Amino acid sequence: MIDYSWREELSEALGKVSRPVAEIHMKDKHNNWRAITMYIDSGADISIISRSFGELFGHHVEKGRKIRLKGISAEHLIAYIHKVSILIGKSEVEIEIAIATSDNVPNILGRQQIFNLFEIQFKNKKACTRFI
Amino acid sequence: MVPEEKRKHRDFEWLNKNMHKLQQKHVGKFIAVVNKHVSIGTTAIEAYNKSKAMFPKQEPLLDVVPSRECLLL
Repeated sequence: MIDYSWREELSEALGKVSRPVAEIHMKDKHNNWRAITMYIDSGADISIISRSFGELFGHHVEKGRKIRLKGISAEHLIAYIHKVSILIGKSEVEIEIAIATSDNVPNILGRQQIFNLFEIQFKNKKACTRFI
Repeated sequence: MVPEEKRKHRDFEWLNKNMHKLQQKHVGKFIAVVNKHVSIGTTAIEAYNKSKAMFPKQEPLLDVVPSRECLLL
């Protein structure tokens, strides 16, 4: 079991808000583990990182499988699917991750290959997310 | 947890409490954190390299400073 405390961030409209984030280790193309923070998003089908992180981790972004992603706005986002290994706590998991073609996206830990492996509890009163 | 993992987790906890301060000046910038020291760049590679120049034996915690717009995920 691992608990990740929520993050205090500023919102122009709402003031201080708490958002669920996780400290994830991601293996780069040279088999080094890199530590990165990602939002935990139960509404996202798949995990995504920005182009800049993809390049830092040694990926040739456009060599992956091209997909179009849609959020709540009308615009689509272009990204490429790559396979990566990630560590959540001590659990190593190989997942497919979308690497965006731009840096204009937050890093998101989505449901695909993650939410079926862990019981994930959003604990508002403790301001943390629990992975079991 | 080994010492390096503990250090990264401490940096994660510290960043969770202090991200709103970074949002005052560094929205949209990439950051790399080691022992509460924040290296800033316009790309993840720039932030990472700055951090490694200062802390060559330590792996930074990487992140990006979010905008202050409402976020709908």
